[in-house]
Amino acid sequence: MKRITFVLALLLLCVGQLAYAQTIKVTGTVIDEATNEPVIAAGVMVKGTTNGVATDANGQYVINVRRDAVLVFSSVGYTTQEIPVNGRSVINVSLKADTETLEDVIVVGYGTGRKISTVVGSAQTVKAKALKDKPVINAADALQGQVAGLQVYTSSGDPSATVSMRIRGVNSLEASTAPLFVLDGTPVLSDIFNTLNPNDIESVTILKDASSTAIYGSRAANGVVYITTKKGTTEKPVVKLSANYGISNLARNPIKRVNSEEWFRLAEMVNPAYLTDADFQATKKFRLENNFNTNWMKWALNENVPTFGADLSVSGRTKVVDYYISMTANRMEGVEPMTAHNRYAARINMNVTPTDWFKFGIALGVGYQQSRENPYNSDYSSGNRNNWNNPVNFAMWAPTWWTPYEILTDGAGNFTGFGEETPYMADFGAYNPHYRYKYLKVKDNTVRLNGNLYEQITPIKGLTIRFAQGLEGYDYRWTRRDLQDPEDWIHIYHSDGPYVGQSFTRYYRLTSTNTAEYKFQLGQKHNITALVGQEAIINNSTGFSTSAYGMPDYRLGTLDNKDDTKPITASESWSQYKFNSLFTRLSYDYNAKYYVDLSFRRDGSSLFGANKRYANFWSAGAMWNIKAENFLKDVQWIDKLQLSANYGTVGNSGISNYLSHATVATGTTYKGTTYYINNSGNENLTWETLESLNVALDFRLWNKLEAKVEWYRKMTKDMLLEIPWSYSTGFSGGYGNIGNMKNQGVEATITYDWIRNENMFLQTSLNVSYNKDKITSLFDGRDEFQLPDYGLNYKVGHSAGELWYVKSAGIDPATGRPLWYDKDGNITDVYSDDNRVLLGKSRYAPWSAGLQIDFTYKNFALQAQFSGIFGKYLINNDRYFYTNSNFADNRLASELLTEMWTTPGQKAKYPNPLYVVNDECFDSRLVENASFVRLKGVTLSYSLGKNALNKLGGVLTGVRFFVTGRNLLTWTKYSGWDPEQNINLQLAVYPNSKQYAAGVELTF
Amino acid sequence: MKKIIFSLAVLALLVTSCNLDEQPQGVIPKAGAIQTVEDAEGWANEEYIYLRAYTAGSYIYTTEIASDFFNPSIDYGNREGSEYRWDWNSGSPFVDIWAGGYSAINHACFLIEEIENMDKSGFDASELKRLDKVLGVAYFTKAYFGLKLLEYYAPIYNASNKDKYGIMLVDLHRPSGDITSYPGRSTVEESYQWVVTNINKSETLMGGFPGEVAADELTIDIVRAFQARLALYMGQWDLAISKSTSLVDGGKYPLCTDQTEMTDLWKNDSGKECIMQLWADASANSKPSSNDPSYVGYTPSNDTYRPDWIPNKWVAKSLYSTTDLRFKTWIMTGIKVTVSIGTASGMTLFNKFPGNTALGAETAHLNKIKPFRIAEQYLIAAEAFAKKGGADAVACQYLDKLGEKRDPSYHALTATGDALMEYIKEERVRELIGEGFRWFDLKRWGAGMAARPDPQLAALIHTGGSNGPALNLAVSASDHKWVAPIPVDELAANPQIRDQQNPGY
Repeated sequence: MKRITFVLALLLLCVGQLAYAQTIKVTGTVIDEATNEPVIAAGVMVKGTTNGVATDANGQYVINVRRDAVLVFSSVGYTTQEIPVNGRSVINVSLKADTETLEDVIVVGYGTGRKISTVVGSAQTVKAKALKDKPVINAADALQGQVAGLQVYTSSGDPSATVSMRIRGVNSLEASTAPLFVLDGTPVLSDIFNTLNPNDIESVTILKDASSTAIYGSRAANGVVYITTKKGTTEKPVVKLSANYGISNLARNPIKRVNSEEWFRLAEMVNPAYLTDADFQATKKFRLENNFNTNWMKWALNENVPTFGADLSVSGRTKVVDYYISMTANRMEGVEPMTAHNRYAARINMNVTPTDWFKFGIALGVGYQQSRENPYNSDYSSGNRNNWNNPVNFAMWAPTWWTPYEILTDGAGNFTGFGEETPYMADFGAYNPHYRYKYLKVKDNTVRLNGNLYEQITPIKGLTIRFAQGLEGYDYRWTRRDLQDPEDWIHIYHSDGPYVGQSFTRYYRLTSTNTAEYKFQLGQKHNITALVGQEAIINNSTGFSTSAYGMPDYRLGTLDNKDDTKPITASESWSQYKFNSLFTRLSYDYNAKYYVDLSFRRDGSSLFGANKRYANFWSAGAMWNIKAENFLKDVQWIDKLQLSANYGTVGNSGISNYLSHATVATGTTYKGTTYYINNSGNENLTWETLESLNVALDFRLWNKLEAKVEWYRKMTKDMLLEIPWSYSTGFSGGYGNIGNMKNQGVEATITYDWIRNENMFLQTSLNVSYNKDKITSLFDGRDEFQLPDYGLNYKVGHSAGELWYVKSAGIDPATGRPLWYDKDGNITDVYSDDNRVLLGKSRYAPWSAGLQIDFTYKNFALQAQFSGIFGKYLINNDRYFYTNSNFADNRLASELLTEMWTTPGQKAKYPNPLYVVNDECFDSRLVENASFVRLKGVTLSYSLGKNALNKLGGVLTGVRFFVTGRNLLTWTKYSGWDPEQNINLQLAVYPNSKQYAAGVELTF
Repeated sequence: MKKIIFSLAVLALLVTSCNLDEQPQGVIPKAGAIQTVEDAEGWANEEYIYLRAYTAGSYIYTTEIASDFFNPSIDYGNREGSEYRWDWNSGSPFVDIWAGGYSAINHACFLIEEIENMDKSGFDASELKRLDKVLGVAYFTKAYFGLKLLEYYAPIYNASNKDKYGIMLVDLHRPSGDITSYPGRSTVEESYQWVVTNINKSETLMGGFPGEVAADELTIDIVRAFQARLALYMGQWDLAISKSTSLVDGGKYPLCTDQTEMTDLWKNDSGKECIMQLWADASANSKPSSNDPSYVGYTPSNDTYRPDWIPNKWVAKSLYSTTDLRFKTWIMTGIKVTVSIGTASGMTLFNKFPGNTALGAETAHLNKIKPFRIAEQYLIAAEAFAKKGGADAVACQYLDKLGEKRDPSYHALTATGDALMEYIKEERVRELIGEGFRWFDLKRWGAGMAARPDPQLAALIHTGGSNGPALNLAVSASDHKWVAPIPVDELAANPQIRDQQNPGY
């Protein structure tokens, strides 16, 4: 109470001071030093007070201040200036662009932020600008190509698709290869970018090496993606309203199908018996004469499906509080029928500084997401997806001479036109997918919460004690209703008839992090920051699901309507794991010239065996700021020159829960309960450890060219593998920490400012990275480990993703027989799985690159972002189906017309149909180079100038129009749907999409 | 200073830590999993699940198809094709027997060790007796699966094979990735003696559990039936005789006397003649596998028969007399068979597993599993007497006892020597066809497999490609494929066995 009284008194005192001081009115204009354009919404503050205003659309301001006050001019992207008033009534200011502003302070691990130029480890930040205005749900898609060493894949065109990310290669065979995601200091799930409103993101920092990640210990082996959300920065509340609308289509449609005439011709080539088959010839004649040529692509897939997004945000600050509030609504439909995703999200970020020694804040995001899935492409196992009912397959496979409509004929059997689309599709010999979609409904929805709370105390100067509590949670609900249809097709689909399945999952993670950081100087030149901290994390996931059959009517689609005589299922899941950690970091620099960083973390986790639950991780790094040396002080053309190196260890705990436990479960009933050992357990199960070495050179020359070149080597030890055991153990295999692998690579980023004047700005940024992954040892001294069921063969000295298939020796020109190489390299016409070899082609791309072009001319701005992945290989499993003459009845690519062997001596790509045997076509011929370059994003925008804004009445401080596109151009040799696949085999996937959108952003 | 004290106090309050001992839900930690007699009985029940799994379905019919009874229809789709053609290798199809056998044995080893280490001080006499039975089941499991593995993976038991490789012997459940802990193969002699040791322990423990018709849990009679079978396989004729005749002569398991009883047994699983008939019911997980790999292939909706496997001429036309109850019960005649190229009337099909409608649709061909039937004991007694020498007449008596019940027009047998043995071999086919005995019978008789008899109707049979030579396939007694290959995974994982693959693979 005493304290409150004191604060109130203080407040009164302040008010009194303001009221009675001698004030004058100061006006002026704030302009950009380079362009002479007014700087809108720049903050003009009286130093040491909460008194401040913002500049208007003309860059002008008016403020009442004391004659001896000092004004602080600041704006995002500019260097802050302090100017004493000294009694003047007009103060015009030119702000200087700060090229490093947004990269200026980043959070590396725990503790307060630090200037990026003082970070010893490897970290790179992507600014908000690169992620906004994107016409997709998942903002991380736009990270592709932005950061050297970061590979991002959107493998599906489903509106709900998540991305997969890898930082610097692949570090594990069976544990996770996904980075750790941290949102405002709290670890979050990897699909955070699906949840998060992209406009809430202030920056995304990619932490790549041990020095920057060792403090995250056992979860950081695959790098860290640190997301920072926005804060209020200006005194005057800023209201932003933006909306965009666009359309979505297939990104590519590269597969050329035969038309009706070609289909019949090809069928006769494959099976000459058709030439004399009266029924066949009659059908051919009827269909061709009456021009049956259905465009199944158009029929089975949607075109120009809408995408929509709207955002509203309010932000601002006072001396005590800064705040940022946002709301968003997005809707995206998919090219596959039924598919759509809706997202509604809101966020509040608030920091409160009631006293100079106490501060607290909250960052709270809530969201609701709703997805609709296509019932035939919602199954993630490719085998189940690969059927006729999957819309993509239907579009590909259905012959154009088929029709979904009733064929009308006169009495003489002459074609008179098409009737209605019928529930049963006679040509297909099955029910029309359009009809079925009406009775199959697959939906899910998720309610999410990301909340962070912190309390921070600064008892003495330089010491910051911070307590942070994080909660991430979601409730996920999935429903499938396969309803009774009027034609009773449902009983063909499920023998037990209509079906309703529901599942429910609740997940939460509680994180408690407590740190104390002390920054101090010894003498004038020794700067020291010491941090100690402690963290505890609980992850919990529970769920249940149930299903039943026999709802009698399409209007009765709940579990209540079930038929009790039909099977009813119920199941439950439960998983909880925990981490306990202690960590510390010591950062030292001598006169901003020599930097040393040491970090240490001790992690314990319930994921691991009782005997190996705790592990230590550490790193040591050093940096030499060469530019600060006397001998470079006078070298004008060098603006920055830094050399750094670090070494350290991190762990990988991305494994299934409870693997270490030997447990007993109940089995199939035999008169009564039965028990069996369902998990052999391993009490010595422990973390994979990654040892990482990083060397970097960082420089900026002529104030135009900025570059960073890095080399690294990472060794994964104690790799977690499920290895075969002798069956004498009663098990076929078990988990152990066995095997090592290595990733080594170089990265370079070069940014160049081509033009920088008042009207025009052109900057390009190019990054290139190379990574080679290699297995260096396996278990029991083995040099290879074959997993035939997965088409995998891990071999020492080879990439973990190297494809393993029988090598084709082409087609024998004499006979049209497919030929292969056997193990010894001899040509054979007998196919055998035993002849599989590692092909030297990996699913993991060694090369990746990105090019960002940033161009502004007066009020126009153009941003283009290209990304490239090179040296990546993919099995085009779809091609197996559409070029396999065994499936001549219904699945054909026009390529077969010319590339199939028909005459002796022909150099053909596809064999004589006589010799097509299912399994035998699955060889290296299906391996394709899936390297690609993609125009990932391009945005052209126009902002209204001050005159135009004035004409609008001056209420608006900014109006921006933009058109944007995603995946508009793709260059690739890959012949299948899409090369952007983070998998070794493409089969019946939801093809990737491209978008055009237009939007407007209003700032008040 | 106040601020600092306050800060420290808050710090102390907020420091958090979790207990890292997390237990999975819905399962029991393995350590201490067996505490009560009821627990132990639940573990014993699991042994019956193993038994039911490996005495049914593909574990039964794959070797029938490898034998000389059936030919594939033109539409059979290569199901069990490699067994039919005898082109198996170390990859398939015998991996599951190896894996399942050792899984069952390990389960039993764990159970035995846990019960031995149990604190039994609080148990009363009836509880201790129940524990004896659990142990009896565990030792029986070891013996049963040990013999099963020997049937497949080892040469037969005789003087010249004694020192050849048998199987890996496992007595302690110690799952681990430590490759030095894995056993190699013991000799055939050691392996069979290990089976004997285990079944004898079971016999001792099971003394208080008398047999009953259609027992669905272990009884002393089941142990004896197994001992009789084992003794026959080991050439211990006197033992085989004493065990089998005790069951046959005891009269506890009378044979069916008429067609009605036969139908009731095979269609409705009455359990008559069964020393053991494993429990099953119609709920999803309690159904047995079907022993019928599409011998019938009947579709009621269009009243068509599209079998995968059609009995050859020998089985269809000359094996049985038409008055034989077995013929009347198991063999369907005058069937119109449909294949893709047309239909054929007057065909004979094999339908020993007609499907108990209490377990599922008739077309699912689900019947309760009958791993031990009294008829086999008659045949064991006859074969043992015949082999023993000087007792051919007694052998004939046992064959007569069976034959008279099976066929009203049966004539008493007076065969001796080779003719008697030939009769026994054929009677084993007549009685045990479809139940998974033939392949190992051929193996232990050591005469190879004579050329597969001609099909009923060649036009229906798939003879294309590699199936051509299989039509009249003959396999010599010396063919290496009489001994199944050790699975490649075992060879790769276990250095002790790496150089112990069976010859020819």
